[in-house]
Amino acid sequence: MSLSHPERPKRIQELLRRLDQEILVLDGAMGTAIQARDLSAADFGGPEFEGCNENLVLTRPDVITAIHAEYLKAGCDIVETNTFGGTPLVLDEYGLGSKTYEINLKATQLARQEADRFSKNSVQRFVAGAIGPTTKAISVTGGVTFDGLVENFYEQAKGLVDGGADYLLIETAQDTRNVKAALVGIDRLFAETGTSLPIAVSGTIEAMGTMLAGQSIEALMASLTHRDLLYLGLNCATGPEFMTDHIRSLSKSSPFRVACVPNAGLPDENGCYLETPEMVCKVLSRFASEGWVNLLGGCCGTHHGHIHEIKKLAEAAKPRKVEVQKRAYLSGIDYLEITDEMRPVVVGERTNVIGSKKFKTLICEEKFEEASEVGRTQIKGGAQIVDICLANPDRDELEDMRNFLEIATKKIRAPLMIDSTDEKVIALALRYSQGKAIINSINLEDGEERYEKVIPLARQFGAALVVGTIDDDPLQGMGVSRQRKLDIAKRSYELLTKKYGVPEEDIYWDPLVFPCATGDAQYVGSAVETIEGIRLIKKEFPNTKTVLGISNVSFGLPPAGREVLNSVFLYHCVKAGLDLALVNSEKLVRYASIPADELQLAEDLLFTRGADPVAAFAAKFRDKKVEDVSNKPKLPLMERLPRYIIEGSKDGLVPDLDEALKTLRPLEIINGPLMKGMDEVGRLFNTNQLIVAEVLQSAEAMKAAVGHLENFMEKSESSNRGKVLLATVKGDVHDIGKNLVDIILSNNGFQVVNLGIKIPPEQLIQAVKEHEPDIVGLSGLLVKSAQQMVITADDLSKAGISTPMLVGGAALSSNFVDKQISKSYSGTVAYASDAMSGLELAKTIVDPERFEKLKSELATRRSQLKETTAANAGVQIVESTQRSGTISLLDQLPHPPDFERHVLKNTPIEQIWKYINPLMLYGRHLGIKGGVVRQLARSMTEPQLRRELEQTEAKSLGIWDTVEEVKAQYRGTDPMRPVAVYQFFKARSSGNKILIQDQYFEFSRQRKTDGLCLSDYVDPNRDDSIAMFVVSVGHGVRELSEEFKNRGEYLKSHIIQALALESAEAYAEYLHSQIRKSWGYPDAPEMTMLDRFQAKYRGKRYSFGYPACPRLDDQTLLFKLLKASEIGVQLTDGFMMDPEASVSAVAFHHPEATYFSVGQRGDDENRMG
Amino acid sequence: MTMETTAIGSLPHHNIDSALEYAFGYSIPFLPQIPLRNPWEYMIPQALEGLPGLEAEGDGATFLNVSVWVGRCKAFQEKMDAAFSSNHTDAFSSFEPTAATWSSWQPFLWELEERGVKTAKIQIAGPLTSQWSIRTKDGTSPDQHPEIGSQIFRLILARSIAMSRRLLSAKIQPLLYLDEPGLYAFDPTNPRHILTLNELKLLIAALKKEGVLVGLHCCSNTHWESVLGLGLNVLSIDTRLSLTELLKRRDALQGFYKKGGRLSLGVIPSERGPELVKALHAPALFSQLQETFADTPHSNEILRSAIYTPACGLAFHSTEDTELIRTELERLRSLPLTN
Repeated sequence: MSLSHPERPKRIQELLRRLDQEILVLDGAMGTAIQARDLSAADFGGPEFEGCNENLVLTRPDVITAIHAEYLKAGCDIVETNTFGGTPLVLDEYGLGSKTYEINLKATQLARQEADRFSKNSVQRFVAGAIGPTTKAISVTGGVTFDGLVENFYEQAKGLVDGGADYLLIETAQDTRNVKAALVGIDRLFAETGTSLPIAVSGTIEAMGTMLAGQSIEALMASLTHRDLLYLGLNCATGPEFMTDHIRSLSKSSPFRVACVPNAGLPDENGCYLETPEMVCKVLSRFASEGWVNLLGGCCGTHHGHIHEIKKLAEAAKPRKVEVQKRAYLSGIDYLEITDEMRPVVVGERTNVIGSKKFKTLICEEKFEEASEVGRTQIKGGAQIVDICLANPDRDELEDMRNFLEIATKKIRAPLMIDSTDEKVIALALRYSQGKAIINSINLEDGEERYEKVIPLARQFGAALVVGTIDDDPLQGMGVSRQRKLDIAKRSYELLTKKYGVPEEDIYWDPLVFPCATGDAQYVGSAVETIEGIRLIKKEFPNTKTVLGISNVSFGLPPAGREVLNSVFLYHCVKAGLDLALVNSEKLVRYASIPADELQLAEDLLFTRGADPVAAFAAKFRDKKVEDVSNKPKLPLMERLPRYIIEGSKDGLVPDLDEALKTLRPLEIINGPLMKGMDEVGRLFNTNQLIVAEVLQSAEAMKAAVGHLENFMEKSESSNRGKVLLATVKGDVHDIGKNLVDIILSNNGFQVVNLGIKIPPEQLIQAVKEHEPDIVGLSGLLVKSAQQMVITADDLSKAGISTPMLVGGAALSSNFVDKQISKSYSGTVAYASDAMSGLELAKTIVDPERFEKLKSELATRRSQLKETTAANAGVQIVESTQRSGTISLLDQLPHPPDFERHVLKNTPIEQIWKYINPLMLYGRHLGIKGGVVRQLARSMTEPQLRRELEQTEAKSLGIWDTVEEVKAQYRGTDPMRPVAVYQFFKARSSGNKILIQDQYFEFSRQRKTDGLCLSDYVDPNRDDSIAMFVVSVGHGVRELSEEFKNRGEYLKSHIIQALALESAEAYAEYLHSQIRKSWGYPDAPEMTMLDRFQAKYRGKRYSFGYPACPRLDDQTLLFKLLKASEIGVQLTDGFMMDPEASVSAVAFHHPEATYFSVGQRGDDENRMG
Repeated sequence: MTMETTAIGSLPHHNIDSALEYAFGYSIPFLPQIPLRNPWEYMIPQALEGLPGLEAEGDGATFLNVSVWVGRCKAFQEKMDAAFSSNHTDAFSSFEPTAATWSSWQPFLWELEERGVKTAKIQIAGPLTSQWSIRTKDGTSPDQHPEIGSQIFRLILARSIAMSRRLLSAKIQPLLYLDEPGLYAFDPTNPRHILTLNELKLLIAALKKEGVLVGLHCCSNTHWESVLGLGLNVLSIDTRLSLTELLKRRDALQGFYKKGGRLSLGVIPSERGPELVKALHAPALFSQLQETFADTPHSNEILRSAIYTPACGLAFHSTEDTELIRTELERLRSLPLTN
């Protein structure tokens, strides 16, 4: 059944005319519009169909009609049919596959009916037959065959065409192989029915910057340039802001009209899209005013309000002018434009069963996984295209190609060169390529037979062609001479461009290369003919490209010389105009590094100079050898001893030391001959006669000597001065100080019992009873340890212990000891400010006379302290609470959209990564110089620059690539799963406080006249607002980093941590921009990321622990208000956030907000007392 | 000459950004150590990272698992020997601090280069303090293995060279402070101490040959004559605790100055919180300093060439205190020297 639509051709003409003259507007979201109507299961036709929006055209056509009408009323020019999931594949999930035609037909009729109704007294409205991506992305999810998809799309398109659609819209495309299948299916329908409608494609670029299957917008465009599309655009996934770069790129190079159909931002965890019509249009108005678009519309979360605003801005702008440029581009998953600057583009030649024994073996053993690694290795080695040849006469080429590409296309992002003589194999391979491949090759050996078989495939799937300079001349088919090469190219060009309609930029000439040193007379001098052939062809057809299999030229030569000759030959070919070179990218010798004599021999051979250049060249490389080089005093005793030290030798040292001990004491030997040796070592070292390694040997000899002499030293006569019990108090693990006290006391004759760390009072009491020490030494470094000492002293007293006590550690001060600890202890407590004073105090305590004196001094000081404390009670530094006069009170305060708490769990990490400051990640954390970071960032879009960096900044490039690898590996996993909570709060300031609900933050103020305080940015007299947020990325990052470290992957260990930290920072940057937008101060469209990193926007955000609010413990209130622990971010005892890759902040909208330090003081600081 | 300021190293900041921002506020930016972030960022684990068997526990305790060390010490020794025997400038690069223990190292380097800083201060725990403070898990000293001491010395030398070379390669003058609070336990009659002090002397000589300005920080009193004879470029002290004692060693000090030695004066006392705020008053601190130097010849030159710092690391202060300290040191720089 085919329904006729006599008015349709006219409408299509009108559509084309208007698209050239104005920016047309597509409708808004259908899905969220249906959702908003809160339909019941019965509305869908029963519970089993609930959720099948497409079925509503049959069960509740009124709802769908009303939605169309709403959008048409809002001013849209085009409505989409409610057929997003209208393929049998999707409908079958509800058991409705058999109704595919009926649903698509009815849906189109409903849209047609409303479009026509609104066209009656107004301009023509159009219907786009919507074809969604199905539930399978063939390259990603699998679960469907290419031909299966073709069938699905064919079925759906039939209903859409019959229902009266004005064009078919393949939308929300996430995988170009699905798009290609849709195009094949639609072509089949058109061919069968004789109908032809325009087709538009709308891809979906995820926040990661590519489609789900990996292609960028440029790669998608390159994949579809073989079609005459109504337009190519973007829809869904993100809000308009994140489409900016893609739309700009598309606008710059697309041969098609450009469409932009964004979501209303991103949804929060309740599915609410956060961007208002004004917010969306603010960005879209830039796209329109820059002349980037021909069509605008709304996707998920947009409603008639959005469409109304979009229509208004569309009416005020002019559409993009479409210009067709002659550019040669290819694509795999990645985009590749072949330009003069990047010659030669390297085509990896090792995935070829004819040229690579290793690859052939892997294929024969059906190790396709390993075989595909060969392709990936070539890319790593510098190849930009991969030639794939599986033509092994002993095997089924078609099956091998299928099995190989099934795996390889997931690993190889570069464009593919399909190298086969069997068109069935080519057709199959093209079904596996997302992008625009090159077919290698066609020629006129059998007349036009091969052209006829292969060119239609190129046209159907989109591919360029390698055209060999071979024809059907019975005497000399292959063009050996330069002229023959040119003649064949001329004949081929005529046929290709005129008869077969191949765009000249899709022609890649292969002028053939022959072995120049096998002795075969017909190929003597063929190398120079090839070089010159390239020159002639490029001159004749400057818009075409050339390609050559380089290594064939050196066939038959000694292996050591082949890569040299290949390199020199490649150099001359490129000079002559060669664009693509099939080479082993891993083995390519750099031309510049070839010695002059070898270069001379290679050129003699290529240009047939001299009597026997082949013999000379072969002799040079046969005779090449590697050279190898290798090579390697008795004095009097008092002169021998220093020599041991100077020479760092221990051989004979001990007997000589024993000899010396007969006349000298150990310390005399050390301070005598041995130190003399050490002094000489120092002198020789300073005069560069010794190197560090040798000096270390000397130190070792000295150590061995001292170690031996120690055995003969007398014990200290003062080895029993007394017993000291040392402990670090409960809750404290820091024992460096205590250990040093141990050392110094032990070295000075005290017997030390070191109890260790975290010693509770009861253990200490037990130890005092057991060891009966003369002194108890307590140490603690943490602030809380000071209080623990008071508790410990009190417990000891209660246990009847009054042993003199020494206390020390970074947490203590003399005053604290005098005021607090001494009061809690029944014995004497003295403060040891360091180990030396500890020693002196210990010596004093064990001397009864001096101990009495100490006790008296302590008592006197403590009573004086009481008096001073009383006298100084009024001395204090007074912090001003006076609002700074430099911060104005705003006339108008912004109103945030709500004061609700929002949790975000679905912000795509890729979107966040766009906000990473590359200088911070790659520079600060990973050590790449700033200038190089900028170049690396550019090289992502400039292949030539990347190649240069491969030579000059290989290490940095390696780091860059490893970051990408880590990103790809952990995208979507816990370590890279972003989560955020934010909320606007009503706030007022009062002095240095910001009052929120019934609580407040109290900030410090700079101690100077008009000193700043964060509270100055909040109005004291009216309800103002602040925003607070916590963002986090990186659960389990520390463990993951440790895993990498344990595996020896140190760089990755570092990268994963740095990436998580900077991702959290980036998320804070992103969320802050959304908060500004919500306050009504969106960033200007022209604002660059650099501007954002430099905080060139209205308002500022402040994190605790930074100079304006340095007290980290204030985080507690922020965490409480936001209930941040509910998103998995905890505050540690030290008020740090866990995971570490988290950022919290308070955001202010005040335009005069600036970064400052509360530590700044003026001479006018307020002092009282 | 304008008086210079820097800090000793440890900070109370919780993240790299804020610590760096703080460190770059001094006239000589210093490499921040931020132990609050990770206990491996305390001075001993940072200096000894890589030593087989080293364990820094989550709560900050650092131990040496001797059985692990015994099993892997040979390989570690070979690694160090290879570096010391190599002429390559990057021979020590594997001894550079890692992000796991010294998170601010790489960001610090990068900031130095990007900001075009000419001189930067870095610090590392010195070999004496490191050797004397290392303990086994049962609290004993691993003395029965003297090679541990040797490896600690070599490791600190290797790490110091690695860090210094990185700065030098970026045309930044390294000012490296060996953090030696343990020196107060130094006994000039103990042969092991004599030996270790000699190792320290060699370490200083080796670093000076690399082109490093070598400083030593000792925040207590010690055998100052021995320290002044080490060949240091800079001696860093807690002025309130040690200046008077140090100034008594006139001859040794004269020798130190003659060889171009500078003092690094830890003028900001170690008190915390409100007590510190009360103590912080640059003019008062400076006049006190000038008073102490009153009998010292060329005192103005000495004070003018000195580097002014807090008396010790700031890790146990609040971040607010650190802001005040920096501000006060900055004020001190601008105070006029009176005759």
